[in-house]
Amino acid sequence: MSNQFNQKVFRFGLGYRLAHWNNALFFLTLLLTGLMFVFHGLTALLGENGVVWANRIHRWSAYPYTFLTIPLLALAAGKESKEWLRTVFTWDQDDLQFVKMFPQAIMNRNAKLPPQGKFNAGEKINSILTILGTVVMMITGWIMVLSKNPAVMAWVLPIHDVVAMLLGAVILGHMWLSLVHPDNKAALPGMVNGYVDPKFARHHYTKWYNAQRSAKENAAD
Amino acid sequence: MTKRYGMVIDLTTCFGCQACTAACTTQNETPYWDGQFRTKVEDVERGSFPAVSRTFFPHMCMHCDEPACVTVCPTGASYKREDGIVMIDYEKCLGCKACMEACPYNARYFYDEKAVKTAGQIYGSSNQHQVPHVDKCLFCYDRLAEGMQPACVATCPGGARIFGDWEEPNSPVNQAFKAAGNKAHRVKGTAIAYISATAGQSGVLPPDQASPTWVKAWKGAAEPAARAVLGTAVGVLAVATVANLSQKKKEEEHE
Repeated sequence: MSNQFNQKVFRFGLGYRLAHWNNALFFLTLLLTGLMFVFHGLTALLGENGVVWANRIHRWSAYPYTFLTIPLLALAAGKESKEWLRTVFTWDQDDLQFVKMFPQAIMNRNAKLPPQGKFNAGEKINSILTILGTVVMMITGWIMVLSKNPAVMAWVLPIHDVVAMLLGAVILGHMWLSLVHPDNKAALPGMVNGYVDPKFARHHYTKWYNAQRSAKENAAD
Repeated sequence: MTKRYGMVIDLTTCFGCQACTAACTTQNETPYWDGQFRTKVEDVERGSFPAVSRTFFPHMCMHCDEPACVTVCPTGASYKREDGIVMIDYEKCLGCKACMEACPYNARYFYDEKAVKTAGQIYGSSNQHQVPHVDKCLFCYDRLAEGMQPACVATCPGGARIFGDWEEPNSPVNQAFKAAGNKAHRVKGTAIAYISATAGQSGVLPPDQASPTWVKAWKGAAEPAARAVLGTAVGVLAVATVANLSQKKKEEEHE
């Protein structure tokens, strides 16, 4: 028991991490170039013909965004992906309590939150909104590429535009928690090299951490 | 004073010769082979014998005060000039065609890749249309810059098209409009007025400018709401950053 906090806790496998970063890289590229179609001033970032380049980069990025993340999840991280999907769509009382307390928790780092599983309720919401938003963005985006009908454009362009900004707000919160928040920053290594600090794991994902430990001890017995 | 270029179209003198259509086509090198024109004279027959009437009805881009096409354009390719001309920057146009659906007057068409190729053969390799783009009447802004009238106006044998600046009291458009008395009708929210024998010519004249519902719902409600959500997220996170960091600092000082 003495080395309980010396060993890093394994959290995410390689395939799962690759899928995450593929999605992150191309989503952010799509978001930034896409915002140039709403805030025209941003096109200056890409030079004189900024809007033409924004369009090209936007279209190129759509391919890996659409056709790489899901195969990576399914083929390189099948088990973890299944566990992720099952977990984020399964909600218990602790999750509901977590959501209730979340607004005060992001302002006060000492707020006491209920114990969580592998994904806390905030991450579950982030996952669900990202999945739904991504599906909408992919469908409306490819309709834009393939359709030559202006009446169709009148439907998909507004949806693509509005959902992009809402999804942007979701991802902004996600990035803030992993890059800025003083306590939650410890989650980031889990998505980089796969391992997280054990104290962080016990504090943030108590139920998952305990399950991992007892599984390990059973295996060692 | 800023200009407001516009046109008066006199239906009482238009006899449907399509000289304006032809002049516009050659001046602006438009794809007539696809049946696409920036302006055209419609031959409108109404009623049934013996109570029939026939009107030649020239129509084109109305150069709206608040153009829905400009509102929906994602790149700024469609924009409005100080002098009121609604312009298209071909290089910036991505061909998404949202503007075509937004235009209440059906004044826009798509100059597609095939038409661009054909244009190279018909109008020469250095013609105005090098890339696919949405196209429409631009009031012959290039001719105006050289002190000339738009091609359709200069050509019209009946003098049915009068061009000028609405802001200039003695301009040709204002003179023609005043002289026509109650036969003159300015289409509200646009730069175009019609003169017709029976005032209003219900069913022939274009309706007053109104953006389609989807444009209003999108740009007037849904997009501002989404922007507000995004802005609120940025604000909340900024406050939360300050709150967390100052709390951490305080706690560290206590230790």
